[in-house]
Amino acid sequence: MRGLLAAGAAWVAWAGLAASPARAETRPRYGGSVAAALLGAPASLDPVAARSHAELSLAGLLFDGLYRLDEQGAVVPQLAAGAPVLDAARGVLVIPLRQATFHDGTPITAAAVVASLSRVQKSAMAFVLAGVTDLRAVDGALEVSGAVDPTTLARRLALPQAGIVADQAPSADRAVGSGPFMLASLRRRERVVQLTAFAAYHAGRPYLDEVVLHWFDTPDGEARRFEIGASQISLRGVTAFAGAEPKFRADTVEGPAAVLVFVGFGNGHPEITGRREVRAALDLALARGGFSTLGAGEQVVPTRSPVPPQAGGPALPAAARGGDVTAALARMGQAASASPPLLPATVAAARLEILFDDSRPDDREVAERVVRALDKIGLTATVVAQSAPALRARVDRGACDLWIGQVSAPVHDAAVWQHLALAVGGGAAGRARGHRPDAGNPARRFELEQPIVPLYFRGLRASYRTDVRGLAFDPSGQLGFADLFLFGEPERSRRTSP
Amino acid sequence: MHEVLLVGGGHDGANEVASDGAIEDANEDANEDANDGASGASAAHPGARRGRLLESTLAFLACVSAAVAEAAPASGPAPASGPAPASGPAPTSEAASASRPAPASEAAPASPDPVTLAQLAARARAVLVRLQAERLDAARRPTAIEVRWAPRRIATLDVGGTLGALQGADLDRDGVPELYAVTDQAVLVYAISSAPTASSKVRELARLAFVGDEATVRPRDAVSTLSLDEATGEVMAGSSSYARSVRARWQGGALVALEALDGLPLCMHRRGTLVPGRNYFADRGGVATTSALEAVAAWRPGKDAFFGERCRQGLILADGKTASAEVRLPVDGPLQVTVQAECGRPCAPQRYELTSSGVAFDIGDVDRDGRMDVAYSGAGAPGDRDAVRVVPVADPRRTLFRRAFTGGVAALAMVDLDSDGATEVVVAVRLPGSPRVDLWRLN
Repeated sequence: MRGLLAAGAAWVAWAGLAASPARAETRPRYGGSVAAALLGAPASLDPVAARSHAELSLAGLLFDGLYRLDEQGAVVPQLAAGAPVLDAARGVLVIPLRQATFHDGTPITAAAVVASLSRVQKSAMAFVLAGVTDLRAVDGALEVSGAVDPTTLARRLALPQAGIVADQAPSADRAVGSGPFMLASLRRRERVVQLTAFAAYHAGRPYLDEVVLHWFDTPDGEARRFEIGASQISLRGVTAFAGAEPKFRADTVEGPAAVLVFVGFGNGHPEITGRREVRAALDLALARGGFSTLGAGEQVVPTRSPVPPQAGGPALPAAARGGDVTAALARMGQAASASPPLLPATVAAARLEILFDDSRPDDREVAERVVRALDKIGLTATVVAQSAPALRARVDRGACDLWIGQVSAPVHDAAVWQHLALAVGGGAAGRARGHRPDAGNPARRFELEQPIVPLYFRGLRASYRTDVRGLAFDPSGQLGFADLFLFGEPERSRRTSP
Repeated sequence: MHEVLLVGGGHDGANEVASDGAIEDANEDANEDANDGASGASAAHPGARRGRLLESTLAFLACVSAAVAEAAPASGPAPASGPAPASGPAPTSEAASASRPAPASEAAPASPDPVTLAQLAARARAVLVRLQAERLDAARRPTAIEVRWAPRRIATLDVGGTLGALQGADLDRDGVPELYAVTDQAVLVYAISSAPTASSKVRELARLAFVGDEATVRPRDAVSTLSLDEATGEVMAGSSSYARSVRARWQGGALVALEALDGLPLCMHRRGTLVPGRNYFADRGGVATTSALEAVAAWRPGKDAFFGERCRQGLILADGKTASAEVRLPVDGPLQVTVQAECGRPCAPQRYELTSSGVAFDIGDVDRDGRMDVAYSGAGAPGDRDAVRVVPVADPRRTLFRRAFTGGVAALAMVDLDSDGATEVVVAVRLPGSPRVDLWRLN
């Protein structure tokens, strides 16, 4: 108990030290619309199911959590009115709630918060509430029972997946939260999601009236759109061809390498992909150095660990960037000796599929590189494009062999990355392997299970027109659209100026 | 500077006008009394003594006028245009007795017509009233000084929040103005050494945290406001982060909260309400309650929307007249300045507009030439480099001084730190990503 008290005090001190964001002096103006991009199509708008950078972006814009991370990575209250407070007499943590409403005007009650967090407890993201034995709504506050460190709890509740929802199953037709923006429409055929400002947002109405987020099925689609002045922000460069100039001059802001691209495994051929040795062999065989050429110039950090270097994850030695086929084959040999289905003659007959999301153009190339690595260890595979929802559905059912996945999290929190690696690898295939979302030491379990094969961390680089102000990434690589505002006119590029 | 108006028509001190040698002393006392209720600065004006002498003379003539009027029924009707009782001091019985005319039996037959005498006295009084006003104005007429612009950082302060307002005034009555700063969390008071070279230039005197319920709906960028009442010595301050503002006063060497107020303090005793969720005020068109979602969503800004306003009283114009000023920054429009002289009769205010002003601005007289000057920050985008410009309000194209800063100007104040009748410009420059501000003195 004393430890909890000390931790609570430390949390308060730490939150108090959080610096306020830079504010200037003429105030931001309201109004306008910004067209920007997602890194891919969202498979779902349900925050608890958010995995990819695109899904987490939307979750953060539509749904508020009890806490959030500010730009410096400090935990600050969002729907909570303060830090978790230990009620020593009752042995519970009390989280006071602030007065706020959902987008549809209904007040956010403690009961709604309990219902929302109960969904998290039952999901693959259960590690967020690890150690929590009971959640109760008492006198407008949330009471948390169990052996919970308040600092860790607040940090976990700051994840977008713990966003508070009005309904039990948010969908593309109805995604009601209390975030700064409201869902206006999600049109998958047009590859666009449209958000409008939530005027009664408790933390201040966003400056923009509207945010329009596109995704693209070609590597240069986003850059082309920016080049002709049809969007204000691009995450994939400013022109389709090197040496060209966009219509309007662009500045850039770099974000953290907070997006992990990985290979996930399904149950299509459980005798192969269900074997830890096979996954380890693929891990060894992959030539990750080649991933550095992906993208539009943003930072790419090849990795074999699910923990980014900023969180203490091991850097990939230069010698390992080409892969170690000898060691991989040795690993496959060990596996085959214990499991006849893995004998070379048997596995050569198997035709594996690698699914990738067709709204993430880089993923095709990633999948093809994985095919080459599989070939080195005697496995044959082909790549198959899927829409984001279809891919997610098949992964959740385990109806696939391998798939290219993406996950994002605060870049400095090693434990969260380890938990997420287990969570994203713990779909139907993971459950078949006995994965428990809230159990045990995640680093140790990752070593034992290797549910995914990490490939690389991808950084974010946003190019933006000069009339877009207030652009900044948070530690998860999410753009703070609520703080964006338009100021003045965009500056034309020199080459296109009259 | 906030001057005390010395015109005391009808104040009780005049009753002792007939006592030998007591005229100036009595008036001295009266003036000290008057100074108790304001930021006494009358000693700064060399013509004040002459003004008091003139006032005594006026009172004496009023006594004569009253005596004549009293005597008038014996010989004729009282003049219709006699001085109004309320406009002049009433004579004491002793004074009236001393000046009363002799009985009719003792009066010389060639004595002047009393009606004519009363009229003459009234006319004389009217002339003297005008002369007094003119001479008082002349006494207050400021003398221009040469401003030495020497910007220097006098302190780096951790204000513990987002600074939004800055003003100076002597509310603790120690004869030296303090600097009042308001963040989204607290009111902070600093003493600033008037000596530009003092080693310890800024010292925190008080810190009064906002308390109570947090605002249900607040703007993304914190808005703080401040209103200082030198007459009552009260501070009114508010922050958009809290549901209610605070009224406070110095008591026993501490700044003590007196009550919580609705709205954010603006000019004088006006209070405004931010448009819910936004960073500006509106006179009309806002919503009554912030919890009414439909009303919040339906709100649309109008021409009356403004970022903030600043008022000053007791300004001394070039002709010695006192004036008040109101400065307001509309959301979509230039900075609007209104200077209203105290003419003693209805007179039109003077209005000016200054373009390209940011939300930090103040009005004062930096060179004591009786022409108001405005200091204001730049209108660039938040996050850009900022600058402070000082211009004469009547000729804003003429820049008296300009200073660029790497950071943004969070707030500024024009305050007479050294009580010389000219204002100094104090600027708070925010360091990026930090609640720390650099405090600069420009002159």
